[in-house]
Amino acid sequence: MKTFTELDPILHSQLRLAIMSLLVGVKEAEFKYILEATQSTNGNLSVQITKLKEAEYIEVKKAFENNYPKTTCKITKKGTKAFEKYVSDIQKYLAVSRKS
Amino acid sequence: MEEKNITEQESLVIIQQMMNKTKEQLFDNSNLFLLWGFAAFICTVTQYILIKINIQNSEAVWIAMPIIAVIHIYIVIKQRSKIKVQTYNGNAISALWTAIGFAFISIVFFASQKINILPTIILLYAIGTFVSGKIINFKPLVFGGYISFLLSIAIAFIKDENQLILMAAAILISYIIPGFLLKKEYKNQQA
Repeated sequence: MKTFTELDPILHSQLRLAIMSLLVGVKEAEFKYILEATQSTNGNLSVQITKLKEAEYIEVKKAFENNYPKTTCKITKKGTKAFEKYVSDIQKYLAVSRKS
Repeated sequence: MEEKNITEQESLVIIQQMMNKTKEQLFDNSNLFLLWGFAAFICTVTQYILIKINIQNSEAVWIAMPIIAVIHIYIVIKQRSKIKVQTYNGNAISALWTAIGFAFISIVFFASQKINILPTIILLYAIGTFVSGKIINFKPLVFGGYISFLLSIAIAFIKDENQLILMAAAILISYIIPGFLLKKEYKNQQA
């Protein structure tokens, strides 16, 4: 039987998985959009976005628009692959646990 | 939502919830549909009236179109700061209408050769609205597309200025009505 440890630890966390699930379906999204969609807090979201960025799962662009900072996030190819692998791992895990 | 460990079942629920949020994300481009719809509709009807009252060079009404293009650019720039997420669907629709915009510019040169461009214009409306409707899964646009395809055939059997009536109908069905319905749909989604 498969265990938790086999799942990608970067993705196997509530908020990071939510961010990746959002980004996998869009071209890019602003920080504010992710904040609203995940109903997270500013600080926590920033920390998790930084972790995903360090893992090279997402790209983060910082810009200014009308004098306000604008942070945009975009999933990378590495991130998409990791996400796909995570989903398939979970499916395998659930299939095994259903049989047992 | 916070940083915590989850079970595999919870993972699937999160993935599903988040993907649903982006799936139905409608980009409000109804203003652009209405802008071009009303502009083209007014020009078509005006040209028809001018022909009926025997005024020469009635096609000059279409000079208004570059002005509309400027207003279009202004709306797009203003909207850009409001867009928080760029979807693949939104991008596909922008690319489609940019291509159709280029086609319109190219067709204008045929008009200067005294070639009747109305059937082609209606055909381009049909393609634009049909494909946009399919991309965002919005039936009024798809329906408008079908009707415009039929009108582009029907126009072959109609002569002279009466073709303008079909053109006005195509604009009403493929731009103005779906534009209003799209606006309503977007407002409902935001509520």
